[in-house]
Amino acid sequence: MFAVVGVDRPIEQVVNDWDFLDEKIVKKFTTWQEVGGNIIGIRRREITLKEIIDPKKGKFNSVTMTPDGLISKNHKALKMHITPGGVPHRVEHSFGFWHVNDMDELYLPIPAAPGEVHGHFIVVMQTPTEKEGESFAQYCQVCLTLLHEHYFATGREGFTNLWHAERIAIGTYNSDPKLRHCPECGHDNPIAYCANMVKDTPEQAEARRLW
Amino acid sequence: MTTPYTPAYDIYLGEGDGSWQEVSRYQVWNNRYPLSEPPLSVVERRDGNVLRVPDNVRLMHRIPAGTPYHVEHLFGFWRTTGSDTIFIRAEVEDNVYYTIFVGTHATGFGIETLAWYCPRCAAEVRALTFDLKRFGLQQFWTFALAQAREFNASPAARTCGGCGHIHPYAYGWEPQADQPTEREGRTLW
Repeated sequence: MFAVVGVDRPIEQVVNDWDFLDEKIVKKFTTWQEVGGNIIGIRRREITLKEIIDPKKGKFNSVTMTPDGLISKNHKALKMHITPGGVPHRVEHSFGFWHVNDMDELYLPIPAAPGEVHGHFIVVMQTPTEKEGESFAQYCQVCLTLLHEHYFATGREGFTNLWHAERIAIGTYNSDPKLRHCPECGHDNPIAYCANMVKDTPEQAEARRLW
Repeated sequence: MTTPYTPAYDIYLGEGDGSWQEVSRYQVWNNRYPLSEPPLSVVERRDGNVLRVPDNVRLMHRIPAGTPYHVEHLFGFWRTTGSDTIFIRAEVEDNVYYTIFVGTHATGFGIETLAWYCPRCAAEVRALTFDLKRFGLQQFWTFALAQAREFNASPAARTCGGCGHIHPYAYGWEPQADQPTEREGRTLW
């Protein structure tokens, strides 16, 4: 219907990155990208109606902390999941801390297109502003007592500095065994590790296998 | 009075009733249609031009805040949101799964625009604003349907002041609520 007023050039010549799932564009989103009012990450994973497999880190089990205990998010194809701001969550063997984001996180796994092996695991959060940010937290693995929390004001400090904050959080927690000793139940918790496997020390790689 | 604590929301694509949901700080819509049905294609206005977003097998498209857009056969007007809209399309077997979501956290979120532009010369035929932050999402769609019906009620309201072309019929969100003129509009654009 709009043929008369439509532009005669393909959209890619007018709008940059108009399809984030395009093969040439999706690679940018393997790291988080701030796009307009959102921060977006897109990971290529094996996505079925039953489960999700990370090609590097294995079975993808994302866990949320609730008043009723820990529950698995059970991500799978065509199931959108939203973790509201303030809810601690983590992915086993993927990042060795609990992420507590002021912003909601929206997940949408799309199965592989015909002829492809990997689907698209889409993660979106709205861009934090001013004091809004996120925490890298540690809870006792036995009794869920909060042991350590490192808060980063992402809105004020900028998203690009987040990974530096992650390293500080992990480094601080790992450097002091007292922080890992639960004052409530006496359990000695394992050390933490970053999201990026490349940063693992041998001890952190062992911790990644553990939890 | 206590506020219920909800640690997680799950939405199964294609299993809902096709209505919008307000989920924490997102507005979410999704639905599933047979691949044989006319595609729900996005068209948007940039610098006065109309751009068509191709119906890729996998598509994730961002409509920036402040950009008027229309999804063919889904709603019969041009909508402008105060924060970015994300449109996702995925063909799976014999179906197409569509997802649209809008974050409500952005400082600009709240004022929505409904408009009709002449399909022949691109001039604005009619435009209205709605305070979504104040009145809510359900009221927005009620308002949109009422405005579509007002637009349809008289040929004069649909006539382009620039070129005299008569705009096709408008329609609201829910196909089951369509009157004959709205059904005709939904089929056409």
